[in-house]
Amino acid sequence: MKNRSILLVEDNADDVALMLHALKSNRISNQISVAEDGEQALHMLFADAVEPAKQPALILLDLNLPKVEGLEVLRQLRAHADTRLIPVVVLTSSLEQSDLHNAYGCGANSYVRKPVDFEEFVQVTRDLGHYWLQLNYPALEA
Amino acid sequence: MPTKIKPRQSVAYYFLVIWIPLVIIALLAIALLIRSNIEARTIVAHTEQRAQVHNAVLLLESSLGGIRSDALYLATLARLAPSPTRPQPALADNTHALVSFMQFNPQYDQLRLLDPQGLEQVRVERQNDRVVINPAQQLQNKAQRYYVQAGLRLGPGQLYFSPFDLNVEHGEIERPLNPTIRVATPVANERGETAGLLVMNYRGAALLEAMAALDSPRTGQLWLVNQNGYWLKGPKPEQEWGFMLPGLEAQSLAKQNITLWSQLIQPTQLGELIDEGAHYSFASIDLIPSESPDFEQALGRLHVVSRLSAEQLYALISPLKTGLLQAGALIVLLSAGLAYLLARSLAQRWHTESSLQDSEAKFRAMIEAAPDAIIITDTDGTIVLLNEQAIRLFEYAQLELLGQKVEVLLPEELRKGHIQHRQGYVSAPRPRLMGSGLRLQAKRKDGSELPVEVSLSPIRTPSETLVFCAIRDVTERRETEDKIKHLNNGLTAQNNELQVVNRELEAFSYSVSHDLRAPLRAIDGFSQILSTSLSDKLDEQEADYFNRIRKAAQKMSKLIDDLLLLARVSRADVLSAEVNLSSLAESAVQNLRELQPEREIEVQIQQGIRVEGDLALLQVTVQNLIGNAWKFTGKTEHPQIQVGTEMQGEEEVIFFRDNGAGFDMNYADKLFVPFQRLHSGNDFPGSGVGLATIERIMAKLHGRIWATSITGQGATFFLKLKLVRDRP
Repeated sequence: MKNRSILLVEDNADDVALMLHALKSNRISNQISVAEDGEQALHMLFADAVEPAKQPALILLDLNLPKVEGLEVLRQLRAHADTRLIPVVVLTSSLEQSDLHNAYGCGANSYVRKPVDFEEFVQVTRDLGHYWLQLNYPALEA
Repeated sequence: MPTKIKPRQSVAYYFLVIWIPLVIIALLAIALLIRSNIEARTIVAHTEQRAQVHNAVLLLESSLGGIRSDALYLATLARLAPSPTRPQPALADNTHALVSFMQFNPQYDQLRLLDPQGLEQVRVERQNDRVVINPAQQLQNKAQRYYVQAGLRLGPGQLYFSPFDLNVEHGEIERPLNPTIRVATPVANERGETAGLLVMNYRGAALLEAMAALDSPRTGQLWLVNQNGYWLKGPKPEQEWGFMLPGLEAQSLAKQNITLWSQLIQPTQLGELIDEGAHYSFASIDLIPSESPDFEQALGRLHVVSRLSAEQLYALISPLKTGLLQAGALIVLLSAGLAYLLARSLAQRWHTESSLQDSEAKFRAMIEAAPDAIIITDTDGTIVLLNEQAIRLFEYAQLELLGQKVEVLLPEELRKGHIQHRQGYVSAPRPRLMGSGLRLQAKRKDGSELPVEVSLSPIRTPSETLVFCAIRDVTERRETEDKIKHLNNGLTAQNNELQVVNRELEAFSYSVSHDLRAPLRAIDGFSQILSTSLSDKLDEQEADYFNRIRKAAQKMSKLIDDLLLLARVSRADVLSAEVNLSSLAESAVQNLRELQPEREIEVQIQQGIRVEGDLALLQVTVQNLIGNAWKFTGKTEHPQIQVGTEMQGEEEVIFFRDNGAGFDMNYADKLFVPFQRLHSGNDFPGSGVGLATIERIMAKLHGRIWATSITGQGATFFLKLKLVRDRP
């Protein structure tokens, strides 16, 4: 598990920096890939015929993304056999009910709000890493 | 235009009007008929009287003529008997001849033959209906008798008639009375000399009986009066023979009826007279003068009188009169029946006419009472009737429209089409609106047009079908409709605008919730990273500045969250359900106790407060109010929070009470305005959006929120919501 990567889909460079800082300060050593928009994320997941073993162990997905919306990315992930079982955590600022509904409706495994308070942010990041990378057992592709 | 109705006339009125003239005419006719009949009957009666008199005269004449021929025959028979050889008449022969004659001629009582000296030769008498020959010793000399002396003065072939009087035997008037006429004629020998005298006693009773037989109730009473005016046959037996019977001298026509008598003694032989109501018809008979020489005593003149008294005439007339009167009564009765039938039919006809007029008047009144203009046309579209409203609506005079085609009330361009529609309607008439859904226009006399609504109904009478058109001026309604339509259009536009605004607001909220917080997170995050990494180089004030940066960012984040909540509440759809407010309050308190376990607050929540409303919105409300109470009791000793219901006037309201800081009632109106705060952020942090959000929620739930407070002693917030009560 520890060898597998985390895909962070986030267009805001500040958030990317804060997330990387929080992961580092929580000593999460997994490889971090960053996609700056939905299109890039899809490209990274499908375009180069990624081997199943090279697929990320966790996807942290923002919703409000340029080019291809986060929900659309999620929909395509779940539609594709190679990616449909990858745990996806929606990580966003919004607490709009419509967003929550749609995210779970499209197959999100979790929905987490990004706190403004950085100390809370670090705590959330630690909890996510602990849960999804250590406690949780993902289904392996056949 | 009220129709005049004749006053009702009764059957009795018509009856009298018809019957009285009929009765008058009938009575007049009957009276005329009676009069002419009386006249005719009188004439007939008088004629019959004349005939009666004539018959009586004939009877007298024939009787006297018979006597004459009998006397002359017997005288001749008696003359053959004496012959030269037998100078004396052959008495025996004569006697037998007289006896046999008597036996066959009962009108004679006595036959005698006298010699020229007046001595009776033969006397044959009727005694008790037997003819008897008197023996010779009883024969007498009658030379002194007036009839013997008169007879002997006559020549052969001549006759003497004695007066018509009563027979006297031996100086006494024979009883019973025996009226007699003595007839004498000389009997001659072969030389023609008077050889004797034949004397015959004629029984006058026979003549009088024959005359009496001519009397009849239909004619008058027949009288026979002698030349001296005495009755031989009179009104009554006791008035007869007055000249002979003692004490009856006064019983004479000449004395009792001078008027009549003066007529009778005129030379004329026929005459008539009306005297004292009685009608007299009379005739006189004079014997041939040669046979009645101027003897002192002779038959002389006889008068036959017929008297028809007023009573007799009346008796003749009265049955006729009665019959006619009965006929008249019958006619009156019949005419009464006829008049009644006629009167009844007239009254019925009047009644029918008046009820017809009555129903016409009602129909008229109904049409006039209708609020709409009403026009009735025949099947050709000709106007046959219209009401006042129609005249006012189209501004025509009534007579101008009657008889016109209904198309004159339409704008020219619609007329042709209307004729076709009208013909179509007539072929299948039924009640309906004209041109349903179309905006119909009509035209006034001055050419101006007006919007109308027309409803049509066929009226079927026995004789024809009419079309009933009710026309309503819908100018005002059209205007109102147009106004409403205009307003509706405005509302639709506003609604569309609102929807656009709402969508924009939604999009705005969405982008706020996604994008507005990211910079705050960056500010807070990088401040934190920097302050940590620089911690050993920063003095206390510099570290405080980093802290202030982070606090501001976090406060901004909370403010954004509250604003988003307010916006979400404003656009939320309200779902109605039964919500347990007590449970909501308890879970809110529970949450707060978990967040701040160090706070010791006495909380009392009334159980079972249930309201009707939207669960999510009510949750926001309760969390906010409990949160406020929790917050503002933060500096109170023995803090208390109470949730319950109480009566305010007639309303049951829910209250949230605390004993915290409270607020100044002077600023109570600012309590529910967004971003308005009554406490400093240092004392009690907050955004100032919470109560504004609750007020918005109350508006959405058709409820109300208000508050009372005493500064430093606490505040009470009241909610008016639709409470759900337990059903018994």
